[in-house]
Amino acid sequence: MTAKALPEFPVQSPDQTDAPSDQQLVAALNTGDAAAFETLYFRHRDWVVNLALRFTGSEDLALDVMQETFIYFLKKFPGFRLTANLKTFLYPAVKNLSIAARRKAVRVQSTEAELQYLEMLPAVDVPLAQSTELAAALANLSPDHREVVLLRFVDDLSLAEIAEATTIPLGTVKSRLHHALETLRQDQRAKEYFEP
Amino acid sequence: MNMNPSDPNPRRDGEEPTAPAKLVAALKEPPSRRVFVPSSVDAAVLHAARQHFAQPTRTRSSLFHSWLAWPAVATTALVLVGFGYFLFRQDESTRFAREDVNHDGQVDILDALQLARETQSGDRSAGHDLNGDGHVDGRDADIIAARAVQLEKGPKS
Repeated sequence: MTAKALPEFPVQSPDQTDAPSDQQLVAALNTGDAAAFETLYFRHRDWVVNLALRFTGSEDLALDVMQETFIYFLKKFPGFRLTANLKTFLYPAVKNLSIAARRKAVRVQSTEAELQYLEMLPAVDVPLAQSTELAAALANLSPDHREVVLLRFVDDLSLAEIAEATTIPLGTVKSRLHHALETLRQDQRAKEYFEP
Repeated sequence: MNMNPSDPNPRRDGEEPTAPAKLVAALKEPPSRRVFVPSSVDAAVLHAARQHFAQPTRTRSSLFHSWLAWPAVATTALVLVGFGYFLFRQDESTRFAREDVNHDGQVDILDALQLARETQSGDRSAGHDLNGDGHVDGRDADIIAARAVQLEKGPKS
C-alpha cells in the first residue's frame, strides 16, 4: 500500500489546536471580520519585524517595514485568497519593502556614487545566531544561498514554500540549500556544527 | 537534473538536503537583537485595520456584476430613448388634423395649396387621402380648399 501524501497546507490544523488556522482567519477577513486581522497580526508580527530587521539592519526601519507590510496585506481584502502558508505571501512583501526602506534611508545622506554602490549591495542579514563564528560563516555565503538557509532553518519554511516565497524553482531551492550547506561544512568557523 | 555545467545553481531533484541537528539548533537560537514593538505601533496598525473593514466594501464579484450591468443599462437607455422618439413622432403625425397639411394648427387655404404642391412634386403622404380613393391627388386638395372656404365663411346665422 502506498502512503498517501499529506497536503502541506493548512499548517495549523484546527484538530491540533483550538486557534483558528490562517486560512480560516483569512476567510473571516473576507467577510469583514476585523477581529480576525488582530489575531493574524499578533501571530505573525514578531516574525515580520525580525525578518525586516534581518533585511534592513535598523530597528526603526524594521518597525516601519512591519507596519507597511501589514497595511499592504490589509489592502488585499476583500478578495484575498490564501493558497499557501501566509509567510510565503508576507516574505516577498517584507523583503521588497525593506529594500525600498533602505534605499530611501541612504538616499538622503549619500552621494550619487555611494547610492549606486549601495543599491548594488544585497540586503543585509543581521547575524541571527549568538555565535559570532557561525554568523561570520553565514555572512560568507552568497545572498541567495544564505536566504535559502535562513528560510529553511530559521523561518521553518518547507522547500516548496521557499520556492513560492522567492519565486524560484523548487529544484533551484534544493540546489542552493545543498551548496550552502556544503560551503558551511567546508568553513572552519562552522566546522564544529558538522561534527558528530 | 540540469546538466548545464555553466549553471551556478544546477537543479537537483533528489532528496531534501538536511543539516546536522547541531547546526539547526544553533541557527534557531534567539537572535542577539530583537525588535521591541511599541504598543503605539500595534495600535496604529489595528486602527488602520478597523478603519479599512469599517468602510463599505465592494467585493470583486459585485464589481464584476457592475461591469456587466453597464452594458445592460446603456442598452435599456437606448431602447427607452428610441421608444420615446417613436412616440414623439407618432404624436407629431396625429396631433394635427388630417387637413392641416402644414401643421400650423389651423385648416385654411394654405393647407390646400401645400397639398397641391406636394402632389405635383410627388411628395405625398397617405394620411392626406381625404376622399379615401387610395390616391393623394388634386381632389384631396380640393376637399381641403372647400373646407377652408367653409370655415373662413363661418357658420351661417
